[in-house]
Amino acid sequence: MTAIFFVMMIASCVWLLFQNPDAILATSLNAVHESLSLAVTLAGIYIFWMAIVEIATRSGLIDKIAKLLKKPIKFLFGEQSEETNSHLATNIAANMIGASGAATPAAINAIASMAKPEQIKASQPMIMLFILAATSLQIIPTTIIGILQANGSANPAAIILPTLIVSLVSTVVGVIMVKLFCRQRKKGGA
Amino acid sequence: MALYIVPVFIIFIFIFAFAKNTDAYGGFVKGAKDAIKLIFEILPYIVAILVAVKLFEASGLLKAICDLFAPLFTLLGVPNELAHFIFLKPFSGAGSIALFNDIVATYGADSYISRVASIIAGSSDTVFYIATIYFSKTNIKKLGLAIPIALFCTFFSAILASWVCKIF
Repeated sequence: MTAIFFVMMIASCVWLLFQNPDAILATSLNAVHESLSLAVTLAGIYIFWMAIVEIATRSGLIDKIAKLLKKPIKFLFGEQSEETNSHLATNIAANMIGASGAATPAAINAIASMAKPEQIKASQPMIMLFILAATSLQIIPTTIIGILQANGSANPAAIILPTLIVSLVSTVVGVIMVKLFCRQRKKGGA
Repeated sequence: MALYIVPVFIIFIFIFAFAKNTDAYGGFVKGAKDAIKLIFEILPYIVAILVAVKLFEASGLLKAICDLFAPLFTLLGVPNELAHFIFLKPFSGAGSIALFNDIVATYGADSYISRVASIIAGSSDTVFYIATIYFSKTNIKKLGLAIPIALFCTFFSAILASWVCKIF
């Protein structure tokens, strides 16, 4: 991330310096402002969803889902702690029903619970979770359907099946690539 | 149908909690508290990625990269009109949704272009944004092959979407 950040910042700023030097500060401050309003929006979504997920966790529902998803989770992420497993189960279940507000916090917590305090390199299970998010597990793309509907599509739901096919294939390709290219020499334990 | 999944699930969570005699009120408050902590933890990461992305966009470099790679995508069967959208997608969630809206409005909701765009929008996510916030609670800075693989999958699904839409 550090390298990407450096490249993007330096290249963009140098480029802008020759075209429109005023824009550097204006754009940056605008982006900070946008981040704050995005954070407020996200806070609203996360507060609601994490509250709901906490209830589901306390009632034992998440454990039940985790048991149900035990095999796929073990296949994808290997042996993990119980806490990590329950975050992973929450993430997968939330993604499938399209509740991305519940999925993202669960993923952040899952990665946090896998990481050791001094770890600076992402491990294979973390990359796996990241790839699953990047290739999208959502079964019904509600936002997309909403936009199609708003623009007068005759049958917005027709997009569900092809999206599912493409999404599934790209997810499988991603999973295979992580399994092949991100293997690590493990020294004991998870 | 899709409209009901999430609400029904929420109701189910409450009924299940009630049946199991769970302290739903305490749970709700605790979850909300954790969420507030989480937001403060991820906020600096959101700022960092958004500043970088916005500058990248404003400088015209994003557009330049699009123009550079557009012929390659055309060669692989991806409509030319979507090249910019495909490149914006990994960088900006809100931006790509706005552009998606434009595409649908311009070409018509049932056009080939719009259908391909729908699939691309629905089958991948904002790679750089996820990369920053997913690791925000840890000290992890080195993501190895995570981003290259994610970008490969994004571009792969765009190409696949263009083919699939010719069949459907």
